[in-house]
Amino acid sequence: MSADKWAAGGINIILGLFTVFLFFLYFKTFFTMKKKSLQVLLGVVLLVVWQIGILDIIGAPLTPIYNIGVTLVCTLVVAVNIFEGKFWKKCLFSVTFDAIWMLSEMLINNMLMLYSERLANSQLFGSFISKLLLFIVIVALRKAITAAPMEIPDFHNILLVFISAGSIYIMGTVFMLAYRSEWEYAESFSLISVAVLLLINVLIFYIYRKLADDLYIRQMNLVYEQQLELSERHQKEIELSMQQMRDVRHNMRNDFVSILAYAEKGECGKIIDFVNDVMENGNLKPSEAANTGNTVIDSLVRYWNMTAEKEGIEFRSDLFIPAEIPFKGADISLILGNLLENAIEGARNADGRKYIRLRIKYDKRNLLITVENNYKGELLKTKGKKLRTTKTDVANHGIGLSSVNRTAEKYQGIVSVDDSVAARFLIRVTLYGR
Amino acid sequence: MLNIAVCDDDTRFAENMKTQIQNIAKQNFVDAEIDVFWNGESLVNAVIDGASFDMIYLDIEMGKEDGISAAKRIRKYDKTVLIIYVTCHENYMRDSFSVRPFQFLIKPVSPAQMEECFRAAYEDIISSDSYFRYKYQRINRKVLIRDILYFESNRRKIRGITEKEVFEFYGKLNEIEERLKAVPASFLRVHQSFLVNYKHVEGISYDFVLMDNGKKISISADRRKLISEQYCEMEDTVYVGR
Repeated sequence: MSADKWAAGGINIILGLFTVFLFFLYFKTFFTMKKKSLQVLLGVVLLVVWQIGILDIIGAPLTPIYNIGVTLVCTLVVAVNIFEGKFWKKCLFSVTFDAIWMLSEMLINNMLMLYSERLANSQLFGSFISKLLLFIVIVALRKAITAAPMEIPDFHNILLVFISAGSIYIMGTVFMLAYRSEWEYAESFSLISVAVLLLINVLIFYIYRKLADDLYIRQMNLVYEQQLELSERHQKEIELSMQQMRDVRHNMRNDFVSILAYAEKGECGKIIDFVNDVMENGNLKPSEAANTGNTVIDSLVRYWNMTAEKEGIEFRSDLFIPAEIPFKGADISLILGNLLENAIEGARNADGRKYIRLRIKYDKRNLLITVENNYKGELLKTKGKKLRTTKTDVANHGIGLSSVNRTAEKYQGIVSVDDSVAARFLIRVTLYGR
Repeated sequence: MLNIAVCDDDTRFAENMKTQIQNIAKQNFVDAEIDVFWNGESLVNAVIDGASFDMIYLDIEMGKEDGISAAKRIRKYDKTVLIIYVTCHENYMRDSFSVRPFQFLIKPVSPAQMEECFRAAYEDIISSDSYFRYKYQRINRKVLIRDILYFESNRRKIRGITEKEVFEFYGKLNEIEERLKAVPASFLRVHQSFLVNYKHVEGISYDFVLMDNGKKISISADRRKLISEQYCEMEDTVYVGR
């Protein structure tokens, strides 16, 4: 008798640990673990104690509703402690986890009730089979669903929580009704509804993935739109410089005619004065802002220089780059365009002297970009220390920096923001050339 | 005492530069000796013969041996001299970046630019002109910081690698890193057991640094972001505005 008890206890503990394993298998598919070991430890301890402890308490009177409540709260607390990510996403995934877990238990219980009354009464066997089913569902999910490319907004997470929370409620109701019902088919119908609910909950993952994909595509569209705009601007720049070239050529003809006229008269002094004049006023002097010979960077810097000066912002640029660099023009123009646009946006509202400083250096085959500007007000940050847009139209803004980030990642680069000095925004981008 | 070389095939410009630098040095209370070279070849020969300069003002476009090839040859003998290109070229040739130039000055150079550049270079030189002191076998020893390529730790023992020798002592890399923070010379902790002198870094990528003695040291994954930031910041401070 005593040996049996010990064996049962042992199996209980093994099943509890199996649940812990399933928990991690499931959550690791969608989340990354936190780095703070203390919090993770706390979460794991809570999870293990709960899993092993709850099975011991099972003997004690624990009403089903109370049990469901404890399960929901425990899963959520553990998930919040162990994993990184938004609260509502964790909420959604823990409630769904619980729903799938309970539904598989119900399903197995119902089946056993239908086919073998004896096995249904064995707590251990039922628990084992239902966990096996849960395991299969999770493994299938892992195979079918890869990590989503984006986080979906809280609002959608909350909507989805309703589905799984609702199905837990319906499941409870169906169970109660079938239990109390005298009707002979009650159990079969309850079995089918539980199976349907389980399917619905699995579908949540599909919907989640679709929502995330949709959001991602929308953001990428914005990025492409921006890129198009940048290249259009670039095109205009080139046209402008062509126009200038044509003017220079035209003027040159006139100038030569004048020089020739002076030469024919033998007026050397006048020629000297005239040539000096042309050199001073003509377009022969290279542009002050950017003359590195690198067409992409030069035209971008000139454009933003002009824009900044129109807004009354002092623009200073130090460019140390060769004419050719091993980085794609489109990427450079995306990064510079975004950074300088942000800088102008920021400096526009600054108090007193408004300024932007741009420094680009090509060093050891890497490209280092620094943009500094002053601004007014506060920087907004998300919980993950990421900068947030200060614009009110959140959906369409704030992707500038993230697309800079994505582009920098292409070159194993990093983007770092230095806001240690008040009212000064400094952003550094390092791109590696190999 | 600074040894400065000015190399330009335009003799008038070169002499002009020399007096300008002399005046700036005097105003900043720096003792400077300035040699003028009229072509790249004679400058390189002087370096080969053992002349040790702290700064070289180098014209890129010269008749006999251009500035870039001269700089490349100088780099073979002297890894730490500060090379300042003085050029009327609007676009710097890609090659000129391979010798780690300290600065580009575009002709005509204004006195303000000249002074700004000189000060930055001077600060850079004196910052690495101090000694690293350590104790080994109960004897206090010292080594010039600018000669140190990197430190490598192996359990309690630390090896310091210079261009010519390897020295050993007992200590902790964390403590050395802390100590060297007081010195303006910049050292990068690229790895748990490597502390490298940025002056001697010839190439850097996101996952490794290449020292100028050919040693490749990998940057550990958890330090990459920080090193990238420090790298960008460091190159930023060496800047002299135009």
